[in-house]
Amino acid sequence: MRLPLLGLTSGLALMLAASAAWAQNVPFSRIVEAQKEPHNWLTYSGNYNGQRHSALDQINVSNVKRLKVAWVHHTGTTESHETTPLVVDGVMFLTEGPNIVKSLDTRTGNLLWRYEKKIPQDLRLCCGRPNRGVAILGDTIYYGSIDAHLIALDAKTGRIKWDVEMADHKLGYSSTVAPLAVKDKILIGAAGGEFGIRGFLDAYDARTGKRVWRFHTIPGPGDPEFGTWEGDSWKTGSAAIWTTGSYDPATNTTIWGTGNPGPDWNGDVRLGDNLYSCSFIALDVDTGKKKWHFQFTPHDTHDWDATQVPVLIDGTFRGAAKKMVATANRNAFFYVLDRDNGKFLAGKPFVKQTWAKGLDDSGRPMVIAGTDPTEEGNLVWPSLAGGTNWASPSYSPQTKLFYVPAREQGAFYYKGEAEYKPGVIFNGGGQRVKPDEEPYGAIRALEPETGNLKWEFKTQIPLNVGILTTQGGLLFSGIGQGDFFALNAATGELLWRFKTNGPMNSGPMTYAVDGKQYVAMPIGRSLYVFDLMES
Amino acid sequence: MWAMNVHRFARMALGLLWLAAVAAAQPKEAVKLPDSPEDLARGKKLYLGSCTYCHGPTGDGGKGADLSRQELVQAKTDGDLARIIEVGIPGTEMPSAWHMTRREVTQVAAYVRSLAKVDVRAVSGNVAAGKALYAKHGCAGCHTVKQGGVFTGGYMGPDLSSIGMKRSASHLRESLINPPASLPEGFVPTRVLTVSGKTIDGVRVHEDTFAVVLRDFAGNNHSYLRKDLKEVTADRSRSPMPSYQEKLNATELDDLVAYLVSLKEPLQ
Ligand code: HEC
Ligand code: HEC
Repeated sequence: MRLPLLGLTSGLALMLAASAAWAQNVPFSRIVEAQKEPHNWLTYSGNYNGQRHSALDQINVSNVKRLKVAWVHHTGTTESHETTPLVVDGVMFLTEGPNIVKSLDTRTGNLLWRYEKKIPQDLRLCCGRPNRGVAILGDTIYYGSIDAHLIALDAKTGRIKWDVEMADHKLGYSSTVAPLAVKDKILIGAAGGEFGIRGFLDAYDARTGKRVWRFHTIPGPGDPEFGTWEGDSWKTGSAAIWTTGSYDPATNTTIWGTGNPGPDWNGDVRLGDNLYSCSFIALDVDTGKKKWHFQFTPHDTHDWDATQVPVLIDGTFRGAAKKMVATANRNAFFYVLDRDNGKFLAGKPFVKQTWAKGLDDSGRPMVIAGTDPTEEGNLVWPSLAGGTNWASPSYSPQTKLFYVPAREQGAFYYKGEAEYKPGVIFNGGGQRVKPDEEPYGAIRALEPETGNLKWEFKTQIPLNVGILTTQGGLLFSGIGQGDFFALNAATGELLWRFKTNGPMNSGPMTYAVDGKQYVAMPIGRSLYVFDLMES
Repeated sequence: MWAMNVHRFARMALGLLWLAAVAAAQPKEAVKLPDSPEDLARGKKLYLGSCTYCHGPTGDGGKGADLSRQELVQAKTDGDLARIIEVGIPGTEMPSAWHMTRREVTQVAAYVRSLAKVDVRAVSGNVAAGKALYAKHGCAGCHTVKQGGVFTGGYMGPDLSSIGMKRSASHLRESLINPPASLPEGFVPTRVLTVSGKTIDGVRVHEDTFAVVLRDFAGNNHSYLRKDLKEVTADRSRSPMPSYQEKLNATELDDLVAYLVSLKEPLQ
């Protein structure tokens, strides 16, 4: 082996070898056809369809036993580490709470740049200062900061291009979601569902940062759905956006999940269905006009947000070809809707629930009386964290199964006082998980057409780690107690695991560079990247 | 949203930070508790919902501190009382009532104050006699207390050096008579049966999807991979501690409880 004269020489050689590939430029056309470049991960869910499925198969059921750590990137974050990295031609882009964006070399973890946003001290937050990732479009990285700004950064240097305020953080608006880049627009919404915000999804001109449209997740006067809130309660009804939506290029429709109505647990002060809280909303990307909506939990009083990533599936339903959108909701039901009109196709519980007799023909829950929170505490399944939470599900076109990280746990729900004051927490109650119970979790594989359980992989504690499936027949996920693992996606058989002893609050993704496949997962305060040991 | 992004405890900690920030932003002022019958009635309702399961309906029961005492050690002023309810007592089982508004907190605090007026219960036993019983019955084989400046005793059971601050007298009495009634999390009796046919009894130190750690009654740790185990049985209906119902008469029970109540080593 010839040794280089200087360390620098070899470094330079590498840089040169890769430099052609490092000219980041990701026009919309590339994201639409993301499946054609599976070595990259161009948008939050890997693909506009929200499936979190990769066509990479170098790591597969027969060799995953040889998976080992390739490199680790340490962060200093003390926040929950929720990012999904993007990878573009050998370069990674990721975020860490409360305010940092980074670019890394995907082969080594070496830092290419780091951007830190100055953030105010007087943020109003319910749940820490995490961030779930960035979007890329052209040569620009888009980042929603915790103080509800949208920021554009140069992909090669991390230099700032523009910074716009979406809403006033002093009123409780914040942002934790990875934006979605579609056409020439950046789509993003605001979190703050515990502060009586009025939720929205915005579209910004990717070049200038100028807002092109805003869709209020709570309709105002003049809207046909105005009137599903008693009195003025719509003004402080929340319905926040905090998980990334999906996009259907065939119809130019973007679908997003919305959060709980505010105040969370006291529904008395906001009688009515409270549209469009706890719903999927389908909007035209050019105009921001609504095409349809579907509300999973009308007049929610348990904080069961519908902020799960909508999973777009082209398949068959009862024998006929159908364009569907599937989701396992926090309220314990799994749903399949017609993607073209939002009509309910099928649904059933995927975890224990005690609040509804079932779903009627339109998909509306038949609520059991007496399941609302009370001042004394009312025991209901599932718990506040839901049958599943925001962690991404996955759909594998290979197995034709829908995978969800499930949570089996009940809770006492409390109703409290709910008086709105700007910028002050607006809960109206809370919960206490059932004590002396051993809650548990499972990865559940469901048949999307029926919601029937194909297999499950049980875990000691309820799950909240996202799922990745690959064409290698694998399912990657983790358990909050510190186990990262790979299952056979067809059978649920455990094939590989790695004990990290660190918390996991994100989900895995995969990419390839120089012909080699990697799997990346934020664990504890670090990003772990795995590859195959030479055989 | 209350996302599951953070572990329950981390979220509590964050709540604390937020509250601390809010508290820091406001000048410290004396807290005035409401005293109208409506406020007290509301405080009672909230107390019954959020506090009873640890402190008992009248404040003197459950695994929480005795709130029916005339003076609360850690909540001497109404300001301290409201703060304790709002942020909890970090490092103990006393949680933050994060779901209550400031007004609700003061209503609950007012109700807590009213408990002391209703029921002033002295513990009737003799502390010195209780201390002797503690030695005689071998409690120290499993528990530590502070004696002569040193924490002495065994590790099979919880540290009792501050138990008088943590628990009410009625709970302590119950602990002696019916130990399984309230098992602290680290003391769930667990039995494993290994693939090779060995049985080990102990308390559960850790259990996850792939591994189990037990501490046996001699204090030794045993770590197992599930694949080496045939069975794991966590049994909340038993306690490693024997019941003293038959071994102590009524006076002795009072004495022992009085001794336990007197153990008030400040938290380290
Ligand atoms: C999960 C059990 C639990 C719940 C629920 C709980 N507490 Fe406590 N509380 C405790 C424990 C344990 C302590 C003693 C902590 C220590 O070790 O100092 C305590 C201590 C206290 C104290 C300090 C007592 C003193 O002697 O200074 C107050 C006051 C108090 N609790 C009030 C409340 C109120 C009011 C509520 C309901 C809003 C409540 N607690 C809910 C367990 C609980
Ligand atoms: C064989 C070991 C053992 C002996 C002997 C024993 N204990 Fe315990 N004790 C435990 C264990 C383990 C627990 C925790 C499980 C439980 O609460 O049932 C416990 C719990 C307790 C508690 C409740 C602690 C809490 O945090 O609520 C008290 C009080 C207590 N013991 C007092 C005593 C006294 C007094 C004696 C002697 C008369 C004694 N114990 C003898 C093992 C023992």
